[in-house]
Amino acid sequence: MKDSIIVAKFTATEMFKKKSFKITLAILLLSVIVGFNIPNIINLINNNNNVENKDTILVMDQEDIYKGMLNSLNQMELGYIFEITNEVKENDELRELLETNKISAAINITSEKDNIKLDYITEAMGLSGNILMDEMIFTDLYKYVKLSEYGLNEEDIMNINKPLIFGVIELGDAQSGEILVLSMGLCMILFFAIYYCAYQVSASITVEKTSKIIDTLITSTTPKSIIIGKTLGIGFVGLVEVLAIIITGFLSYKLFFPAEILTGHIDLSGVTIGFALVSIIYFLLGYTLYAFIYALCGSLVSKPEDVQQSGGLVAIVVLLGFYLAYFSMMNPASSLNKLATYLPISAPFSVPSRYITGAVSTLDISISIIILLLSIVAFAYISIKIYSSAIINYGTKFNLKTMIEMFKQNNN
Amino acid sequence: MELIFKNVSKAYTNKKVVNNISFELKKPTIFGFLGTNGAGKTTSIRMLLGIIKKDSGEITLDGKPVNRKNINFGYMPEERGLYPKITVYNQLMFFSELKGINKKAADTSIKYWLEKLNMMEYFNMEAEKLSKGNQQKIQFILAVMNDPSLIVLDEPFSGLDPVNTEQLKNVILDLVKQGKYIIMSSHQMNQIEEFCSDILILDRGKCVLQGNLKEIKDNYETNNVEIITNENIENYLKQLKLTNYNKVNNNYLINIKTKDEGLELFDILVKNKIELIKYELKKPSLHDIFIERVGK
Repeated sequence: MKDSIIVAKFTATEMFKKKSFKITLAILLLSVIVGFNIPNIINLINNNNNVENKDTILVMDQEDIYKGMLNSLNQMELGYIFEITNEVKENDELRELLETNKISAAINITSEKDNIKLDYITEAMGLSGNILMDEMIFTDLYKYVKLSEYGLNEEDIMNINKPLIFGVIELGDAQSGEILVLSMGLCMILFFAIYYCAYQVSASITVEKTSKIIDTLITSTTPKSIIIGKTLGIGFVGLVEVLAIIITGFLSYKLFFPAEILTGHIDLSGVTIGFALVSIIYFLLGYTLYAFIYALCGSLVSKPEDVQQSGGLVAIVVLLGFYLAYFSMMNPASSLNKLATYLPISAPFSVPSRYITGAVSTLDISISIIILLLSIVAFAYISIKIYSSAIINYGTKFNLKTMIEMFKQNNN
Repeated sequence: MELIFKNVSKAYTNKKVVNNISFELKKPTIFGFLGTNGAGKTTSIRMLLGIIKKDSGEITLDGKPVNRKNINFGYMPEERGLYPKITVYNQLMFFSELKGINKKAADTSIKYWLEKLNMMEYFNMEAEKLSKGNQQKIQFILAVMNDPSLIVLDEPFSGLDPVNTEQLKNVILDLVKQGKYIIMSSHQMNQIEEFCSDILILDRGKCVLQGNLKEIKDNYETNNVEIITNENIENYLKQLKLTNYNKVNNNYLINIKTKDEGLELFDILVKNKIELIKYELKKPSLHDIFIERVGK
C-alpha cells in the first residue's frame, strides 16, 4: 500500500503541474462562471438596446374584428412595439419592410367562416421556428371583445378567464422535483469525471509504456501498486477538479445568478444526509470502477494513439450506463429500473436519483453496493493481471485471444 | 555471497524462450550475458530480477530468492525510458522513494551520483531536454542510487560518446571493487572482453557457450596473424597459399589454419628482410567466437 501511495502522490503532483491540466481547469471554471452570468449578460444587452431597439410587429385587422382593442397590446409590456393598421399590405411591400428591418414580423387577422384566422408573416422561420408572439394573447383579447359584446363587464370577464390552479401531490417517501434535477446534475458530473478524468488513467499508463519507463518502474514496485496508485492519484486529481467546479458553480450561483430567477426555482431543502451519503458513495464507487476499466484499456495498448480507440469502447459502456439511469429517472415505474440499480455500469448513475424518489429499498442499495464492490475488485484484479503481462509485451496487438493469454500468464 | 542461477527455464505458449540455463557468480565481478536478438537475454534478466516468474529452476543471491523484497538490486534496461516532462531530480526522488530510501538519504545519493557523472547542471531539467547520452546516464543513476548488491546493465554503453563511455567504465569497475555483482548484457563484444571475467552466450533460449573468458579463448587455436608493415607482402602470402586475409592501409589480418602456418610466414618475411612494424599471432576474438557459435 505504501508504494501505491507513493505512485498516487507522484501521479497527482505531476498532473497538477501539467500546463494542459491548468488550462483545461481554468477554461472549465471560466465556463461555469460565464454560464451563471448569462442572465446578467442578457439583461446588460437588453438594457443597452433599450426601447428603440424593440422588435416591431405589424398587426393588420382590415375587418376590425378586434373592434379597436388591438391598441391595448402596447400597454401589456410584452417587449414589442405593435403597429396596428386596418389596411392590408401586399406581400412585396411586407417583404421590403422585413428586409429593411422596419418590422420584425407581421400578423394578418381575417375571418374565415366562423373562425378567426391569424397569419404570422416573417422573412424566414429557420430551423428553430421561432414565433415572436404567443397567439394565446390574441385568443384572450378576442374573447374579451366577444364577451364585451354580450354585455359582460371587465370584472366578469376577468373571472371567466381566470386560469385553473393545477398541482401535483407525490405520496412517495422522498421529495423529487428539484432534487431530481440535482440528481441529474450529479449524473452529469459523474459522467464528466469518468469521461475526462478516469480516461486519463489509461492515457497515463500508455504514455509510461511508450516512454519505456515501465521497465524501470516494474523493477521498483509491483504492477498492483502501479495500477492502484495511478487510479488513486488520477482519481484524486479528478475529484479536486470536480470539487473546484462544484464550488465555483455554487459561488457563481450565489454571487452572480439573478435573485428573481433564483426565487422558487431551486429548493435544496429535500437534500437529506442519506441522499448526500448515497450520492457520494456511488460517485466514488462508480468513478473507481470506470478508472479500473480504463486502466485495463491502457495496459492493453502500446501506443498513445490507440488509447482513443480502446477508450471509445469504454465511452460506449459509460453512455449505456448513463442512459439507462436517465431512462429510470424518466420512467420511475419501469421494470428496467431494477436492472439499472444492480448493473454496476449504471448503478452509480441510477441509484442516487432512485433513492431520492423513494423507488429503491435499503436492501436494493445494499445488494447494488456489494455488486459494485465485487465488480471493482474483479476489474482491478483483471486489470492488474493483464497489465502485468501486457507491460512486458510491447507492440502486442490486443484481441480477445491475447487478452486471455495475458490473463493466464503466470507473472508476479 | 553467491549468485546462483540454476536450471532456469521459461516458456510462452509452448515455446521455450529460456531452456535450462545455469550460471554462478561466486564473488563480486562483471558477468557477460550475450546472445543474438531474441535469444532470451531479456527474459532471463526479467526472471533474475523477479519481474516474471520462471517455470522451473532456482535463482538466489546469498541463499535468498531474488525479488524486490529480499534483494536490493538495480536495473538499467535496454529500453531507455524516463518521464519526459518531469525534472531529473523529481524522477530520481520518485524512484528512490519506491526503492525505500528515505528522503534525506535519497537526496544525498542523487546529488552524489549527479556530481560523479558531471550531471549536476541538469538537476532541474526536464528529461526530454537531455541528450540521449545524458538520459542514459540518468538511467544508470536510477540503477545504482540505492546502493544495490546486484546490478544488471543491459547495453550500458550504447549511444555514449567515448568520453562518457570511459567515465562509465571507471564507475562500473569501482562498483566491482565495492563488492557489487554486475551482470552486463551487450552486443559490443570488445566491451565484454574488456570487462567480463566470465561469459554466457545464449542462442534461441539455449546456452551455447559459458565459462571463464580467458579459458574459453585459450581453448581456441590461434587463427589469425596480424602484421603491420610498410612493404607489400601479398606475393609471400600467395606463395604460402594464405588467400584469406584483410588489408587495411598497411595492416594485414591473415587467417591461418594452424600456428605453424603463421610461424612459416614469419620465417619467409624475415628471410626476405621485410621490415615488420608488428607481428602478432592472434587467438579468436570474442566477436569471432560469438559468430562461430550463434552465426549459423
